[in-house]
Amino acid sequence: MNSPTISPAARQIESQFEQPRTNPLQAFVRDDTARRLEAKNLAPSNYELYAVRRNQLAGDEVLGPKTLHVGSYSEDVLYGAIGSETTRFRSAIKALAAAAGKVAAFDPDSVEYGHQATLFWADAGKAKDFIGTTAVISEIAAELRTARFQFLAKDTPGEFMSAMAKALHLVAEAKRLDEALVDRFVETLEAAGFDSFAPDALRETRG
Amino acid sequence: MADDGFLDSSVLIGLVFRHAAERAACTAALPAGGRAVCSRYVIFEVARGFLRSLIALHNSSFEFRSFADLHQAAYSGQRRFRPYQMHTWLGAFTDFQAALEAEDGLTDERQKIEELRAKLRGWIRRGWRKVHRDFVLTNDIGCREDLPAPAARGDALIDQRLPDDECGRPDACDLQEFVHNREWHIEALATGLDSLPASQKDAETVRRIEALAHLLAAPQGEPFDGKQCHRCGDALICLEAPAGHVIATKNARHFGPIAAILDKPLAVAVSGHGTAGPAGVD
Repeated sequence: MNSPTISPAARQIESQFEQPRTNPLQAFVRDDTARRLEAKNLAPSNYELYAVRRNQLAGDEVLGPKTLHVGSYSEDVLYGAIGSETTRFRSAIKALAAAAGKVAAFDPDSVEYGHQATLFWADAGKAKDFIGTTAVISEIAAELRTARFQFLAKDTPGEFMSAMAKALHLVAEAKRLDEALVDRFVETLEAAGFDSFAPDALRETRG
Repeated sequence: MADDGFLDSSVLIGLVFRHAAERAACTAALPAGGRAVCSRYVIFEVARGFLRSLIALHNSSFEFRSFADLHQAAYSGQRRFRPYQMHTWLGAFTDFQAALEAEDGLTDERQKIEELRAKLRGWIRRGWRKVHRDFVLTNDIGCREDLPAPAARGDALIDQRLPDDECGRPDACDLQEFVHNREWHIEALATGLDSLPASQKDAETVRRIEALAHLLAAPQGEPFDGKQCHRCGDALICLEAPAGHVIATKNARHFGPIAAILDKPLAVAVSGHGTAGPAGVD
């Protein structure tokens, strides 16, 4: 028999945890835990992956990162791969922020700048996978895609790439993903020439 | 000292809710070095019209399961998508998403409609803030200053409470005093508009002449038909523009004769396309 001291609400919460399929309560706890861990600013670990080659004649040999680069991942990238959509989004933004910073460090007139910028925009384009995760994440992803659209088949000014790195860092380092953050993200980009209304220009051809 | 620019609704929309080239065209119509001044009356007009349409488009999207369904409904001639050519936003989004799909792969229908909503939410939220932050605000007409910002409800729909049912109530605005203080100018304007050649007197101008007469005849301190205030729009904006201000508009057809009668300076923003108003109304 159920104990009368346990409220119906508490029982309902417990039943949600026991459900095999992910439900909003489980997602909330998972995301909140991830946020708390991030907020603690614990020193992040890095993981170097390596391969073991097994060969009957040559014997086993460990092929570490120095001889065969299998992979080198930060803790949050790996955690993001297994975590919630929000955690994966934060990891993707951190990686994009680092990539934008790398691009911005090159001379905009150099071949390497153009090469790295192309790689950056291709990765930024993957933000579409996060549309629909939450309202705020959808907005950030949509603005990233707008920026990608704005610079399709065009040179990306160095000033803009610096602003992009700054804007992405704002998101990567934010404790909370909220509307105020989206607006700061957009305003940081707008200061460098971003046009959030770029799709509006296509209305002119539609009449 | 440089003249200031006094924004009409079309230029306010152009500066806040349109793409970069449109913003540049509207900025070019403002006197160099002067301030951009906007009145509460114009803000209310934009809230009732253009912004309301953006919000309606955002909210309508929840009725459809896919972007394609929404697009089809908008282009099928449903009346609610006509104001401010809302359906053309969907056409533009189709082109936008097609351009990105060529680079990043297919986007599913759910993502497309979510992306549209995400963009509209940001535009509405930031646009409302810019309207209040980026311009010098004035209120000689004594229009409402307490319009709440558009806000998302619990069900994700956006709403903005507009007290337009209170328009015409003497306790809600000071329009009657504004009209009383400019009686002579308003009479001259109504007479001047009435004497325009038939080719310049379209239905909107005829309604405006009638509305000006209604405001002049309304007894002070008594309620009047608030819609008559809305119909006076362009005329009241020209009347409100202070001396030393250049009225900036994209609507030369209606503002031209009004500014000429009132002997006020006018600058017309020239751009690729106008911000078309609802059917039959500019």
